[in-house]
Amino acid sequence: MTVLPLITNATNYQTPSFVNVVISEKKKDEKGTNEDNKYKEKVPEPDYEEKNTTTSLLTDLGTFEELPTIPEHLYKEIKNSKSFRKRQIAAKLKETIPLFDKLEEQLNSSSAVLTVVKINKILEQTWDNIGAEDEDIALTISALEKLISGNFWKKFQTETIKKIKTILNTYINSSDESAFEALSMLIKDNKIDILPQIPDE
Amino acid sequence: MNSKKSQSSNGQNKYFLETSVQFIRLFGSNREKEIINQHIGAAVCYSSYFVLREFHSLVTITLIEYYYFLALYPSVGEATKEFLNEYSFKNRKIKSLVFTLADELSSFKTKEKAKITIELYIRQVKTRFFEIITYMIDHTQCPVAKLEIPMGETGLYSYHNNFKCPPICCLERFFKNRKSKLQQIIDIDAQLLKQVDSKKRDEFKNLLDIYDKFLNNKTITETDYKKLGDTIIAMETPRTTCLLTYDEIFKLLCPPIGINLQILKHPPKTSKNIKFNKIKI
Repeated sequence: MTVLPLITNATNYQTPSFVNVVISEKKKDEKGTNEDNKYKEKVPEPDYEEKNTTTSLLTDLGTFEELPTIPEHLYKEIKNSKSFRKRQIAAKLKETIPLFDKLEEQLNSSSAVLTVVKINKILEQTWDNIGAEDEDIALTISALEKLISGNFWKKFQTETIKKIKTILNTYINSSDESAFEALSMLIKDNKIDILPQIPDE
Repeated sequence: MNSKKSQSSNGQNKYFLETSVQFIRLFGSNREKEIINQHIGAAVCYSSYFVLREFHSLVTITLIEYYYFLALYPSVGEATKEFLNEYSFKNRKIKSLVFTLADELSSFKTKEKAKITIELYIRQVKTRFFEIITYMIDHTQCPVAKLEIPMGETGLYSYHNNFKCPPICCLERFFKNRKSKLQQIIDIDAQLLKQVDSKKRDEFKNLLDIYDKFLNNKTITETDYKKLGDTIIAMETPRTTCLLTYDEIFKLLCPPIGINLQILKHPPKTSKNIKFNKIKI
C-alpha cells in the first residue's frame, strides 16, 4: 500500500490554515533558507519560454482562494492520520504553557486553583483529537491530567512544574513518544498517588 | 515485633508484605494507608513473586476485565452496568475498588478515555507494588508472575489469556520439598485454634484436608491449589522477617513453622453508609 507514505507527505497541505502559515513564513524570508537554496541549485533554470508558460498557468488558475481543494476522501484520511492528530494535540498542549508559568508564580496562593482548573479544561479538550489507535498519546495526556488534577498542585514544588514544562515542550516540538515515561517518572519521584482510593467506610 | 530475629544487624525491622497489605497500601483509605506507613516506617520490606501473582490476579486481571467490557459496550455507563451485573466480587475490598473506579469513570464523556485511565492504573499498579520492596522471594518460581504487561488492547488481552495458566506446575514442586512443614502445621497447638473465630477455624480445617492429600499422595485438584495461597505465603516468608498481614488465618499457619507475624487491624468504621451511590449508569 502506498497510501500511508502519501498521506505523510501530503500532511504539509492538510488544511488551508496550515498552507497559509507556510506561505507567510516564506514571505518573511525572501532569501530562503540554506535548504531552499540547495533545492534551487538542483533545479535547472527554466528557459524563457517555460517561465512564460508558468506565469500564464498561474494567471489561468486565478487567486489562491480559487485553487482546487484537497479531495474530500483524501482530507478525511489525512485528518485520521496519527501525525495530524499529534500536531493538533501538540498545538492544544501549547496553550497550557503560559498557564504553567502562571501556576509557578501562584503556587502558594489561592488563585492557583483557578489556573489548575483552566489547565484541566485544556487537557480535557485534547481528548477530542485523540484517535482509537493513539495509545501512547492518550496515556501521556491521561498521566498529565492525573498529575495536575485534584489537589496535586498543592504538593508541587516550583521544580516539579519546571519539569512538567520541559516534558511538555519536548512533546510539543517533537511529539516525543517518551513523554509518558518521563511523566511516569515524575509521578514516581514526587510520590504522587494517582490510583483510585477506596473511601473511608 | 515478636522477636529480634526479624531485625537486621543495624536494628531495622524486616517485614514480609502479604497480598492484603500491598492492596491496602495502594488502594486503601487515607487512614488505612497512614496506619501501614507508620507501621512499616523505615523497615526493610520483602515480598514474593507468588504475592505478586495473587496481587495481579486480584487487581490487574479485574481491571483488564473491566477494560474488556468498556471495549465491548457502546458507552461507559452500559459497560459498567454489565460488568457489575456479570461479576460477583467475593473479595470485599476489590468490590470497593471496582465501585470507586466505576464512580470515577462515570464522569468521562468517552469510553476511550475510560479505557486509557484503566490502562494507566494497570501500569501504575506494578510500579507501586515494587516501590518499597527491597527483596523479592521466588520459591514458587512461577513464570506467570513475571510476565510483562504489554501496552494496548491486544497486549492486555494476551496477558489476560496467559494469566489463566494455573500455578499447578510450580506448586507440585514447591510442596514436594515442604511436606515436613505441612506436618508441623497439622500438629498445631490446639490452644492456637481458640485465637481465631469459627469462620477461620473452618477455613483451616479445609486446609488440613488438602495437606492430608499431599502427605498421602492423593490427587490434588485445581480448586485445592487455589486454596493454598496463604499456606504458600506463610512458607515463603523468610524466618528473619515478620509477616505483615490483615488476614487472621496466618495466626494458625505461621506459629507452627516458626514464622513471626503481625496482624494489622482496619480502622474502626466511621459510617455505615458506603459512598457508592453516585454512580451514573
